Amino acid sequence: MTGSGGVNDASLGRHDQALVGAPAHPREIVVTLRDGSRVTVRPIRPQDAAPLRAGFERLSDESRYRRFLSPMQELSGPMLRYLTEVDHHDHEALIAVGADGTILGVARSVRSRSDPQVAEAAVTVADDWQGRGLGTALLGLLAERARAEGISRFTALMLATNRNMLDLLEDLGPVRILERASGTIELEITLPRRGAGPHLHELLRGSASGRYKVIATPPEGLDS
Amino acid sequence: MTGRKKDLIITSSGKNVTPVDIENALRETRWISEAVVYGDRKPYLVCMVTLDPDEAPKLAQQLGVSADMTSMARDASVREVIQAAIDNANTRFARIEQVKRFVILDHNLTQAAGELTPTFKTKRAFVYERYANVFNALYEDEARS
Repeated sequence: MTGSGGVNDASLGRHDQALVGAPAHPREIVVTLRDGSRVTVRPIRPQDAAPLRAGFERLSDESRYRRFLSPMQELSGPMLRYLTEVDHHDHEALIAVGADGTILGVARSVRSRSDPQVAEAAVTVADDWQGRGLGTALLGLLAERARAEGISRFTALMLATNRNMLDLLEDLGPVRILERASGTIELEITLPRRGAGPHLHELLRGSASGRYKVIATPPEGLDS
Repeated sequence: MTGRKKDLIITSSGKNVTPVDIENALRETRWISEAVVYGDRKPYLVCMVTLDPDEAPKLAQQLGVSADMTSMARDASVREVIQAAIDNANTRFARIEQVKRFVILDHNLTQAAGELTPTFKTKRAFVYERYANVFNALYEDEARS
């Protein structure tokens, strides 16, 4: 249920419920990164196709290659639909949106067809936003969403040299190497067992170490 | 764009090559939708390309050939166009990083075949394995000569 009033640090439980709740009315949260900049994180919507394409076009060849492990030049219409028209159950994508509405990062998980408890995860952060903890925040929040949808493990396929992503995943939970071949590595990460609430507290604790912090915001339309 | 260390491919002469830049250069070509460079423990690099499904019919029309993907993949005039694109991309790279031979796959990579992951990453290891014969065939004449 959404629209149940403002949320603050004292009512994180309600905040969590709202965040994992009805995807048709997704909640937004504001994440303050370690350099003090603020981004809004929320589930992706079909209307995000244009900004997603624009965000992709701003990515360096390197970042695009890391995301798709192939030289993707642009996102086609069908691809954009696949990436934005998600069911928020088997396929979830959280986006980080800047003050000007541009998409600064995406964390996505798609449930495995062979094992419903497993989802493949992928994270992309705009080049000039890398190194600020945005990927960590997005992946942490995505893990929370995935847990709520019955996912207990993420898999991730990446370039074996993608140290940043490896670090990010190791921060999330115990990591096991599934395959290492042709310069790529596939990992499996066991998601934290705890529920969304404590995990959000963990995220908040992360803020104490200066990584980033999560600030809950009122639901849309309720700002006074 | 500089200082990257991918080392995805180590050729038989022990040179470390990153296929990222050459693949990007090939993909800039209008007709190519996917370019997977191969060459680990091989004397030179080869490449498997797929034709862009949106653009291929236009190329077929331009060349006056059938737009059928299977026949296009084997068509000499289509190969000529792709060869020209590869030659053009090669000029931007050092010898060791140039693609010497290529094959046109008659279909695009798919999730259904397990070549692409659910988040649309190319499963490079799987593609190399699945098309090992296709890649290896690009070295056969060389071995004989």
